[in-house]
Amino acid sequence: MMDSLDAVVTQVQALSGSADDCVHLAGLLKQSESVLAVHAPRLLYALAALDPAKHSLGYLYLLEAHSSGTLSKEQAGSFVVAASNFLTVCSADQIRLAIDKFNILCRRLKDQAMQMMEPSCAILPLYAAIRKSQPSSEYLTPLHADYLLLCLLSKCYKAGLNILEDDIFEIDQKRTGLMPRDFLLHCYYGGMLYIGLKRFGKALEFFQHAITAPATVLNAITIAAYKKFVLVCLIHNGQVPPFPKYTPSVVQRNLKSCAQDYFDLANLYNSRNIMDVKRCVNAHEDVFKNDTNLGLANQVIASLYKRNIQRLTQTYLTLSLQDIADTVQLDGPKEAELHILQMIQDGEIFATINQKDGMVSFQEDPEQYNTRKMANMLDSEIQHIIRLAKKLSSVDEQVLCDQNYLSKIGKDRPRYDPDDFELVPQKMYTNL
Amino acid sequence: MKPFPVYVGFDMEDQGVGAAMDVDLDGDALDLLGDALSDHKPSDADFFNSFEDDFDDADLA
Repeated sequence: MMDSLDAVVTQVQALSGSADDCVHLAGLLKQSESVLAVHAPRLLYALAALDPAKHSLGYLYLLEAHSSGTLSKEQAGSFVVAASNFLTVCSADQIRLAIDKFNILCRRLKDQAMQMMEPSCAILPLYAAIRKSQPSSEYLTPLHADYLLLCLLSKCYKAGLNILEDDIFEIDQKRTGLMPRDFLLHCYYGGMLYIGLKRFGKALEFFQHAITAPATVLNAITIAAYKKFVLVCLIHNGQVPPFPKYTPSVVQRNLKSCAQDYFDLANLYNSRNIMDVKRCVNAHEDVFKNDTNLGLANQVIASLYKRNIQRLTQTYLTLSLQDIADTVQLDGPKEAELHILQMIQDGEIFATINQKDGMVSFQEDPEQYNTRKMANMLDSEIQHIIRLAKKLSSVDEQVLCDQNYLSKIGKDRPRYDPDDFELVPQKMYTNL
Repeated sequence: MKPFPVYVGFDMEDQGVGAAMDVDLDGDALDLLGDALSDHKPSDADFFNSFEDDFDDADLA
């Protein structure tokens, strides 16, 4: 006699064909969750009767129910293997019918990989999961933040670019299960990945999204993002800009008190005095260490040396290594030479060093922007901007037709403007 | 760092904003709520942030 679990398996096998059957199956599985919970010890055998590619929806429910309790080390290992395989081969159409369940399973895989201290093992499966759960690459999902976290922990920064370089235009909670926290984490972890890749401009962009996201209360992720934002601003631009107008007022009013040590460093950086900045970093070393930002703070010091050397190139055509060392407060001409060589290699200055007399000759940027490579790059950027402009125009049209927007505009304007109804100008009456 | 004369992205002063951007008009009540809650612990304080300090360039030397 077939018991309830066998009945569920039979239903999954019978109703995983057409799209209509799968929708019907989704409803049945939702009602069978208690059955799956009761038969948890037998779910592994039930899973063996299903094909994760053909019976993805049923497989998802059973696998999630099987892994919902505490897992032994051996069970955790088996779960990671099964979940990784499932995420790689599952049907996107089927799993989208139970997106919340799918997100829970993916999150569980991420948690297990972290507990096993093997975050890299879940990177490829989670990437496959993102692509299957997204209606298109323009949609942000909760899995984005988890994926970026695993890339950070594995120090596989370039793997993060696979999704960081997508243009995200759509936030749809119903279709993806995205929550505000997922958005903030995506911005924070994304910013950190770009720091790891030394792409500070993009890192600032991501942190800025976290700082300016609409908010009514202060969020710990926003605070963490702002601390890194301050340090990266100093490294990349030499200054921290004021908050944009669209920053939530609760953030503008309260963020400074949460990051006072960082503000102190930013204020001292403006003086361009290396010793003052070093003293400040030493004085706040414990705070930076607790926030795991001491490495970035040291990069701030290094950036100040570079910035001071760059300022010299704007004044002098040639300068001795000794003079550079004295002006920039380096230990001697040897250290100055090392800094100059590194900056030349990184394309931050254009100069030649005469080792015979210890003189540095500063030169203009030789780039003439007249090569085929430069033309192709410019063309690619222009095409990208044209696509963005079209997208912006399309979004603008959607907003103009949005019911909420129209009712708000209607509220702000008076319904009838008396001037519209003056058929005879006032001055005509005086002549009567 | 390459010379970067203008920091883009933050200078909104010269840009006109339409009525659609004035959402803070309705946010005044929400601002009061934010003030009331600002003394409380920040939300999402349990988010994962236990990384090693991976951005110390001294490791690259």
